[in-house]
Amino acid sequence: MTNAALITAQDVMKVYDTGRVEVRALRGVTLDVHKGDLLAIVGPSGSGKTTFLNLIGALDVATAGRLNVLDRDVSALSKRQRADLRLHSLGFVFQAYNLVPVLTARENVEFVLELQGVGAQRNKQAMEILEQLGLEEFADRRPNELSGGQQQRVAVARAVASKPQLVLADEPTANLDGENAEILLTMMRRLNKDHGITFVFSTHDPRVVAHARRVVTLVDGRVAKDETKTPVPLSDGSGESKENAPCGTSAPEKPKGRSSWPCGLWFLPV
Amino acid sequence: MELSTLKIGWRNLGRNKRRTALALLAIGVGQFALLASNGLMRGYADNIRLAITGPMIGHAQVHAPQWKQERALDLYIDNLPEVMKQVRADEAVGNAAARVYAAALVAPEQDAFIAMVVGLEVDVESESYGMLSGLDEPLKEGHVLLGHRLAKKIDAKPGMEIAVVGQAADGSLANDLFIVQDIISSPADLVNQSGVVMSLADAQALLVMPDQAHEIVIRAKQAGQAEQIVERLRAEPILAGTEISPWQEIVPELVVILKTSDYVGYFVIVIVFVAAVAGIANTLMMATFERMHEFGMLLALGSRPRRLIRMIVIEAVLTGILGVIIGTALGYLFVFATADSGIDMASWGGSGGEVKDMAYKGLNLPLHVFPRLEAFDTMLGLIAVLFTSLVASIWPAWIAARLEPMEAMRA
Repeated sequence: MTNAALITAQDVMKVYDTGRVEVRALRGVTLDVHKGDLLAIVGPSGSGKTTFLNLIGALDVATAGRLNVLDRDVSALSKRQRADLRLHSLGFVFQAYNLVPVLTARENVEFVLELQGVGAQRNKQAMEILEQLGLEEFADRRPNELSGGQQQRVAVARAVASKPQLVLADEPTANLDGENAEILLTMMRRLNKDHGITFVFSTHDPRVVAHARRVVTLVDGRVAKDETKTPVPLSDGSGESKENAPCGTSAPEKPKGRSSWPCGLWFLPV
Repeated sequence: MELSTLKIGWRNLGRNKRRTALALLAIGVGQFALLASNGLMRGYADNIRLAITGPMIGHAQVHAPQWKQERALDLYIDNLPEVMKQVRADEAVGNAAARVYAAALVAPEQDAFIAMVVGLEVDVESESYGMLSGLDEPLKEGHVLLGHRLAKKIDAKPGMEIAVVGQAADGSLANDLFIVQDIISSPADLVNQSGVVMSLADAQALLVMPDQAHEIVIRAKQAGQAEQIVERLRAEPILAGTEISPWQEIVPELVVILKTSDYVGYFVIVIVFVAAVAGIANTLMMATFERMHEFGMLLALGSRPRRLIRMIVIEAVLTGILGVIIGTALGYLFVFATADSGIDMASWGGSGGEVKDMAYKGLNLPLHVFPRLEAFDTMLGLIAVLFTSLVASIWPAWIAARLEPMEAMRA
């Protein structure tokens, strides 16, 4: 794992002008996110967590300051270039699942691959991703036939299908119960650990914080605290540590539909 | 076009089934109305066309100059056998029949009534579309057929002897007795009102018109050949000095009526267009505003606005096509169900079935219509609805194209 900075934020400000009132969501955030980080951005409501995540995700543009994402100045990118950045280099997991409701789990994953221009292989690739994340039994189900936790896991599969360097997750566990949150976080921890995918979470959830290696606290649009910590041991969701378990190790309960943790995830970028 | 765009467009139709059903109903009813009205108009136009090119007028006619204006007895075509031979020799002519017309008085007993002597070639006119087609027994020499309205007026019955009195072509008195063979109802209103129909030979003898006739009615093998036949016959020396006209020149007013029926079809298309626009535009607008969040998510994933536009257009076009299919099925069901039995449009007029037809320019236009459709009618609706779908999707597509992912996801 290297310490190359994927994101460099320098005094980033974001002001929303609603016409009647100016809302200063970010008041000068300075922060670097490094390759392989498992970063949780926390803070009270209105502190600017989601705003900062949206800026990193090239979904919005900073009012002032400098924000480089993957060596690209987001503010200088056109709408189309930002769409390309999102498509080819970033993955998103949203709070409200946000799968395409009329597509099955496999088709949702395929959709991103199709956007990337993957041809006839995309069906196979999508299925492989679902299989390796233990989601193959849900492949032909539509979102309304999946539980919230299952939907969110499919959303993670879709987020990593495009082989992103960075996955941004906005309150990913907000609608999940403890068991499903644990499964989801364990899945993301595995992707981070085994494949070096950088995760940035915006969250209120202490369960997410517990899994993070770095926690940045925003207060009133500024970085109040930036600390590195030791995450809870990686488990299979049952509470048992699986940090050093070899792939294929029996895990009778989690993830659902599999008897063991998936091996390899070889298709993902390292 | 990406597969997923097609899938999403198609499956989106099932997301709000009630709304989609309403849109399909609007389009389907429009297409049904188009096909039903076009079917009726075509059936009615067939009646008109058949009345024109059928027994009375045919596809073309030959007359002596000025006969059409004056209808004078002595304005006849001379050298009839040679002329008929030439006319019938044309490869596109199905058949040709010579006719004689003369005003006369008909007297069943004491009183005399105005009538029109119509002399016909019995064998030719007994064929399909001839004036005597469908007659149970061929018209015999010395016998006449009376139009049903004339027969009612003079109280004539089959078997009765009547006197026909008039002026012959040579100025002498034409006068003879005939037996009423039958009372007829003809597609020619002239015959129904005042016709005393006899064989051409009898008429020529009565009116002293040997080898002469007032009119030659030509029926083409195919309806569209009338003008070519006319062109060729006009060039024949033996027909020099005659007037040869296609049916369009003989009854231009009916040609206008036929064209008008087409315009009625176009008017219905406008109604279909409006119904389809309303149905599809409403569906798409509601759907677009409902799916703002979803569109924002798709943009966030890296979709281009063009893809969202395609999704909306596909959904609109699929709605249109489905609506057209439903409307077409209903329309064809209506036409097939009524094609054999026909529809008595006269009964719509509240006559209680008394009125069966109407006459115009001496032609009987039946009001019993047999609806008929052509593939073009379906295509017309389909094209109109597809065009409409594209028009109806412009606004929602424009909204989608201008979305910013974050704003849309907050919606």
